[in-house]
Amino acid sequence: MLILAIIGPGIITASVDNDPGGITTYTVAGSHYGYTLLWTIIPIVVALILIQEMAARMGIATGKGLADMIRENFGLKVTFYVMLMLIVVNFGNVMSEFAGIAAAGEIFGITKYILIPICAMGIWLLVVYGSYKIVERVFLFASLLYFAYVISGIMADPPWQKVLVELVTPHFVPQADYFFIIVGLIGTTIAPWMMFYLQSSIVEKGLKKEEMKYSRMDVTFGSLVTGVIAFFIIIASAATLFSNGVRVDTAADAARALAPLAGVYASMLFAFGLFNAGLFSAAILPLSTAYSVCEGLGWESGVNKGFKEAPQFYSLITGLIILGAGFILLPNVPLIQIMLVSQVLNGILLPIILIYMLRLSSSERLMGEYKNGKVFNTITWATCIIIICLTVALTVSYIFPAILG
Amino acid sequence: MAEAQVQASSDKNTRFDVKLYRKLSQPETQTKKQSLVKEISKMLHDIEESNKEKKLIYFSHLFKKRIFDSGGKYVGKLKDLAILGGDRFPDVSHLLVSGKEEFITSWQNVADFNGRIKLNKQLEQIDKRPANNEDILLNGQILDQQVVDVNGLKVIRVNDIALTYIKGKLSVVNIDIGTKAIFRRLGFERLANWLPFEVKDHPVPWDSVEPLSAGIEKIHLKVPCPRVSDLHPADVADLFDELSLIERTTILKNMKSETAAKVLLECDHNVQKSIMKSLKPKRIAAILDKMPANDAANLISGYGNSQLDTLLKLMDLNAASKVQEMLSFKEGCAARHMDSIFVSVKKDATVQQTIEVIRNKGKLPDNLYYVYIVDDNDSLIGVVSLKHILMSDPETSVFKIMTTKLITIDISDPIQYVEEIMTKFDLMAIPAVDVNGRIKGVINAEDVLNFVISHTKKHKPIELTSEQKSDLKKERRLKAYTSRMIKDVGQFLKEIEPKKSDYIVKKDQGTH
Repeated sequence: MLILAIIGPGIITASVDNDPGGITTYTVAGSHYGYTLLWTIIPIVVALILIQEMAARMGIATGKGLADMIRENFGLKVTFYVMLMLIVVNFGNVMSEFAGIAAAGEIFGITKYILIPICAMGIWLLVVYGSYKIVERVFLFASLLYFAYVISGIMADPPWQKVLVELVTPHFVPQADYFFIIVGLIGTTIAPWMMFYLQSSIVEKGLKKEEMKYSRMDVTFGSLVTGVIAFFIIIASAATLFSNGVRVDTAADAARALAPLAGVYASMLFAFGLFNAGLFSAAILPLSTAYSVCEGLGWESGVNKGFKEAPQFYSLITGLIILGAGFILLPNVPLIQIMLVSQVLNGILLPIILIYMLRLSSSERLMGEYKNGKVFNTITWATCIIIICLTVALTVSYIFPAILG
Repeated sequence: MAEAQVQASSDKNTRFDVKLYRKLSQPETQTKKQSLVKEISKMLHDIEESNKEKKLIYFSHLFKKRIFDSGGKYVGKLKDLAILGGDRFPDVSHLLVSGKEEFITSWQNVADFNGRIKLNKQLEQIDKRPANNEDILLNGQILDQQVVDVNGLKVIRVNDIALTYIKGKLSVVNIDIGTKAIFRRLGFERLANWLPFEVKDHPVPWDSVEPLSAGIEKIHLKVPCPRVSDLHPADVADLFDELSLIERTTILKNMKSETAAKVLLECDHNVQKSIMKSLKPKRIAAILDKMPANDAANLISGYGNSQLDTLLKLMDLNAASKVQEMLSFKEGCAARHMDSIFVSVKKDATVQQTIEVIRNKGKLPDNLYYVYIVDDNDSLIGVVSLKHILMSDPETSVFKIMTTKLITIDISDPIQYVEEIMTKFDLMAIPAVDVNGRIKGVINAEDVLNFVISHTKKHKPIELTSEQKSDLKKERRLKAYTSRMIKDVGQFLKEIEPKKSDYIVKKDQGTH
């Protein structure tokens, strides 16, 4: 039972969460704003725990995936548009994974024109012919690499007192860039695809209602790990990059956050981590997207079925991989920017998914005794509204930069 | 002439028709079935003709249509249609109207449904009531939900519902799972025609569909439609792969314990485990009662002592003691794979008496190859094949015809050894004896085969591709569907023209 808590769906989701887009966003946050964005970590992690707990609870109580539930309770129209948005946002995510791979290649001196096609091909084969379980294990193992950031953050010896103060002191800078990075931080940590992924894995596992508490432990632990890693990436990059006035424009800049640990090998370590994370997230994301979309729209899905039997499923996987990789192959695409923007897109879609989740999990008919409590609902609705406000603020500040000065 | 008509009825049922046609036109059956062919082709032709006249009305087109009363006053929008459960193609009985208030009103109040929906009374005079749990609502309970296509053996999602007028009544005929239906629902129907690839409707006849959600099983109650519980247990197990745990449990809950036991045994190990976990102990006990003791023991061998005790107490006394005995053997030994149901007679029995024993045995093993002969101490002394018994004089003593060159195995022998012995001597069944030479059970070739297959799956030399598999599956289902259709048509003919069709159906049965 304890094993379930330790390597359950929660921790796996958490590790997919730390993909190249995540690393980049945290690094940029630390290098551009120093320690001043640290305060966002605690509320984001609290929201992450609440939302993941909700997803897990919905999976256990109804035995259905999120896409299934949206389809059955809100009808085809809503499902279609939600799925369309999910495809668009996840396309951004897949692109950002390939951007991560390309950035890692840059550091190793391998041109993306060779690396990306090979990786895309490999990923496609892995997804269609490989075993998902193996992907998951390898990935879980590879994500241990992120603890390098924890060590690097400690070795960088940041002003700890200042770090702790910043951790609990909210700041607001009325700037488009600031909102941009906050929405990005939220979007990369609480990614919309994650809700679909987590709930499906829980259903897949066939967890029982009696096992709810282990599942809660699992998602809480996973969320905390995500939070701790985010925290250390931010302080590592604040201590190394921000204090030296480096703004991250290339992967090589970002790699310097690992210098306290790895010294001259920092960029190698960084590139290796980025490559791993990119490769495996790029495998899991198209698969997870295809499953969700097919589930919602009632198309056949499953890697054990042939193309003839599940054409939409395979088209989605193949399309996401080919287009995602293809876009990165365009000359002079700004890799870091792609990774950042895709995370902001996540943040924009998030409240929409959240509202549907909240409505579903508050329903007595669907959830019975496992429906949301009042306190829970209040906090989660508040989270939703805050994210919406931030998104609106972000949009407004881009369109009318003058308003915010 | 008959052939031409059968062939002519080519629409969505083309494949079925061709199959049926081929089947019926085989030389040896052709003459015998000529009259049946005529009848069927005429019927198919009639259906075809009536389908041409009847245009399908899609629910997606009706949804949110405006409704007016007899005075032309706006009443509200159509939100849902309620159907009368029971019929093969159920009639629409009520409308759910959503205007200033939401209410249900009878279909009899509808004056015109084809153009704009018009009621035949003033708004104030219409009977109104709120919707309740008794109503079967198309939008609320069928649309967008998952249903089982019992003939296609798949779990599908309802994208649209097609209705048509049958004998003047608006009835549900198909559900639609096609992509075109998605476009229709989204309001992009015209766009579908402009796409570079063809977007099609994919209708599934209403009578081959069974809803998954609990509570609306009543839909099919009155008609002998194919139901999930009528499928072969292995097919149900296949279907379970596509379902969530809760859906699996819902289906199992509605099954008889015998069927549930068979289905459970056909399931994947992990599926078995999760189902067992989610069922109530009482139900599990009832299912275990209906299983062979060795299978039951294998299912619950991983349970803790207290759990095991509760289960065994809930079980039938006789079955429980057998299971308990099985559990006392180690996993992987012969005893855990043996069937404890076998036929044995005392050595002084005659052939006639042996046959009586077999007839009165009640529960016989699936395949009966041998009868075992025991002495007064119940020790195994000989064996007679069923063939020998049937060929011998009824008055002969079995002692005389039995063979004493026995090949037995010990109940504690490992199953691998049993497999070796059975392959070596080409045996279909082998008796398992205890230390005192008493026969305790029989291991059948199929039990060993199951074991061998489940342990060598990974190294299977030839694996069918998933497409080959699905083609084979489809072929098999089509056959089943065809034979069911022929039976149905027979039934239908019987109903309309008793004398003539009796003759035909008899002839039909005679050829099977």
